[in-house]
Amino acid sequence: MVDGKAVEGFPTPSRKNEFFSKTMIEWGWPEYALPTYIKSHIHPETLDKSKGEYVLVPTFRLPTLIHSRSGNAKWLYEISNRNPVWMHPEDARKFNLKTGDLVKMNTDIGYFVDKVWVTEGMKPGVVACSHHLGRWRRPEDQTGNRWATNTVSIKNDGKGGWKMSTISGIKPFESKDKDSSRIFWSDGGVHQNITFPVHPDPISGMHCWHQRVRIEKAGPEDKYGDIFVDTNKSMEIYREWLKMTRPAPGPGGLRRPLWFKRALRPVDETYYFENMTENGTLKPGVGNK
Amino acid sequence: MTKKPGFIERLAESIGIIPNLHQNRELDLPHLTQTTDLTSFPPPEKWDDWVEYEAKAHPKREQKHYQIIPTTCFNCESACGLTAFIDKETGQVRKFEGNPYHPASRGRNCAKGPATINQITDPDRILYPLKRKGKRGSGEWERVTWDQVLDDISGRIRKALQEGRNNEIAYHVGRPGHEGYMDRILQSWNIDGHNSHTNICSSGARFGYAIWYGYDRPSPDHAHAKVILLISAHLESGHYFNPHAQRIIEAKMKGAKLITMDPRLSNTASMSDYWMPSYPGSEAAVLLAMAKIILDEGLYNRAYMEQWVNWNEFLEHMHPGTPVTFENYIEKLRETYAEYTPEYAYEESGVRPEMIRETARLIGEAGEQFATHNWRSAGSGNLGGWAVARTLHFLNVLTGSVGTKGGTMPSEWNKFKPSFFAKPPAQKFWNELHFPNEYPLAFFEMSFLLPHFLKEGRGKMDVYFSRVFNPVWTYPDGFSWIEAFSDESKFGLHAALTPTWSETAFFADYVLPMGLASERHDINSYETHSGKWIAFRQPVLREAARRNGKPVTFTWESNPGEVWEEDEFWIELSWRIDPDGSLGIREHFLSPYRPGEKVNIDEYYQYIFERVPGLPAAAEKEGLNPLDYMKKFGAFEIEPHCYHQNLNEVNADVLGVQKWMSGPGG
Ligand code: SF4
Repeated sequence: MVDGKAVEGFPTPSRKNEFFSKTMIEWGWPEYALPTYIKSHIHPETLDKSKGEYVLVPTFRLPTLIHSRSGNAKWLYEISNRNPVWMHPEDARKFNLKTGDLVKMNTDIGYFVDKVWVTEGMKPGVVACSHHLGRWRRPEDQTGNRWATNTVSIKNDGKGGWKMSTISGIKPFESKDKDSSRIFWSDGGVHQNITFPVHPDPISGMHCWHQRVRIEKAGPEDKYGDIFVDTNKSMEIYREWLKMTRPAPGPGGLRRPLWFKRALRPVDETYYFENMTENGTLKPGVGNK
Repeated sequence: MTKKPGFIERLAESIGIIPNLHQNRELDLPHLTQTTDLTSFPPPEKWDDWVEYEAKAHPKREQKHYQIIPTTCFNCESACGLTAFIDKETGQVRKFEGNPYHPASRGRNCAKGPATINQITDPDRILYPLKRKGKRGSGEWERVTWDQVLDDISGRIRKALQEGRNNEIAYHVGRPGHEGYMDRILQSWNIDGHNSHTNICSSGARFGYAIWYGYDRPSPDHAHAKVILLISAHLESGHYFNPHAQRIIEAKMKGAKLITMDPRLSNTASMSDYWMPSYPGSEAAVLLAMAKIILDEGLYNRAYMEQWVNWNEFLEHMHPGTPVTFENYIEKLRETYAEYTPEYAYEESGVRPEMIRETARLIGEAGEQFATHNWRSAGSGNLGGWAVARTLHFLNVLTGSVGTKGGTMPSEWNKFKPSFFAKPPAQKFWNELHFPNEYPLAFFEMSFLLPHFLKEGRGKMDVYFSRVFNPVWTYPDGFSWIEAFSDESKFGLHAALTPTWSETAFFADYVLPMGLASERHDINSYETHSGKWIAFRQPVLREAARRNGKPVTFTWESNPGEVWEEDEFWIELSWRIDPDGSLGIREHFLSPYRPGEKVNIDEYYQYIFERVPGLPAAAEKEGLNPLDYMKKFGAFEIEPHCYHQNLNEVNADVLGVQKWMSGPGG
């Protein structure tokens, strides 16, 4: 009620801005009843700088590309075709790296080998690498996005070990578009996301993208674009993060607060565990109005 | 203006020393606008025959005739207006420019808009539906017909539905680009089959907003702000990149101050008045330090907070015994955040305390004209990243800049919700592969854990559609996706709906080419600024064919090869899943205009556009029906501003029975 009139307000239990969230308490997170600061999984306390551990910001976008959907746009790849690791000169000195040198970025499940771009435009102690680049196809695949894709070989040891290496970069090709024979760039960047484990936030469910990486100068056997991942480790880290959750049911046997939005919202009866059958639908007689 | 050639110039031209730049002078085309104007757009009355010189014929002055048809860009989510210039000689799109009638983009685009022409002419694009030969992922494909595709997939879905395996069917979407279309389809099949990319993208921010006020997205009114605070590089690569960027700059030209938190000297940071290179994950600490200053220095908006914050509940629950007064609330607030000194925030973030103080005061002074934005970046990078949006919105609450002119609105105030014919009821299934019990508060589907869930034996996907979606490449842990895709006991059938090859399409059973921006239908409406608008993404060659008296039935007939569009694909598929109507699906695909007949795509949009407030009247003024108006202009502004919707009066009787109020915890 405002000035004696009933008004719409906000779609929350109190119809107001909820500085205090009873929902967080009821669903097992009383420590977050109020707006607060939560230390990240890549907080400096969790990193061992003496071992070369850094935080990698892998999320930044380029204004000229759009995720993995612009590999078919020659003008855009002509502008942007590499994703080196941004590193402050102070940090580069520690690893004895200069622009263009190869660096091995060890994640919790594997690594990728990329070039370094030494720049004062990066906060010391933090490294970053743009998303969008490092598109690939294997020799057996249909040709596609040739403006943007490296040709790679992928080897699987059958036990969860996966190795990707670049056979060739981007090359000019003959086609009905004359520009394809004029491609002058050869570097398609490095695929970093594939070397990241899943990090599900136990509350929002968001994948937490930032990575703890152990940085080292690439060795003689490391080639630009090399990637390795062990999917057994992926499963391990998935389980570690799963342990942080505080599962349903919430109050009243609910699987989710009724007032929360939900994509493709099912009928309300499905929110109660007791109403459900094994194959995920309502028990006979429930909700059949 | 071209100046007349001098004697030497003419002589040189005539003997061929320099190219003749002055031939056909009498054919000079008129200037579109005053020559001082930087922008120019062909006027719509000339859109059916627009004449321009052919750039490639230079220095010859060769006239080219174009038909101009609007559509919208499908590269990022903004759906900026595009105008397709269709060469009247070849019947092909020659280029894309902006659409001046689009309320969000106002004729402008980023580089990715005009690059749409590259995408439609890409020599590597997929033109026909393909089916895999050999093992999944082996790279061998054969061309099939759309009939085979539709029959095979619909039969498989029908069987699953008949056997109650509704939870084995899912549609997994990368870039949606439409409004409500798929919800309608999936609910008509009675499946809980929506999966999205949101939890690798924005659910962190969404959660932080939703826990405050139910709405899950911010809509900053940059253009009218005095202070703009951006968490990350929204000026160069924000979610609504071009529409936001032009308004941020507009505000800056009027004197607004821009504050950016970003560990990287992004283009945004370099254009800012204050660059805060904060350590990743420390953003909330900085924001709370700002909140503390605003509280300590009395810069908060008492009237707003008193009315619109649930402070009484806070006192009752957390400080029982304390008299429930606003003064006590402020006192407890100050106690709660006492530890968030700028010095503490500095230790966490590396942002200098003086800068935190200075910007906090600026924010306090901006009051209701304080626009903020946080979408991916910090919100999506960190454990507890949702707290960034939550502490950022706290600043909007403190300053009373929620839903104000120059402040930050909830997105839903700016977004148009279309009305549909024969809307199916909500599904009676809950798919725990999408919303598992461990994550009761997860804001969207736990989509990136799908391979891990399948490996654990939590279920299977019998029919799985990936649509403009590339988890093998974009998601974390792509090799786990490859492993799961390669296993036919986990993914029974995988159909990739995509305009291009992708790392995920390599591991599909069907690769189904779908239209790019100018080859498909969608309705768009996004919270790009203070207004509310809709735009029509339409297949421009189809519309050209209609205008030129050769209408087609299906969009693919006017697209290259046999490139379909999703809208028609889903109608056809749904129709075939339920050949006799016994599954109750067909009834949702009957034309609202021709009883008993299958709906066509024009009717689908006609029904929506006839119900857009103000559109029928605007169309009538032009002598058009609402659908033809949208086909002609491509966009329509419903409201210029949508401030203060929380003050809309409601009937007091309905208050008690609001759906979202029901149940415990609600
Ligand atoms: S901002 Fe987005 S929608 Fe607008 S032109 Fe650029 S890519 Fe297209």
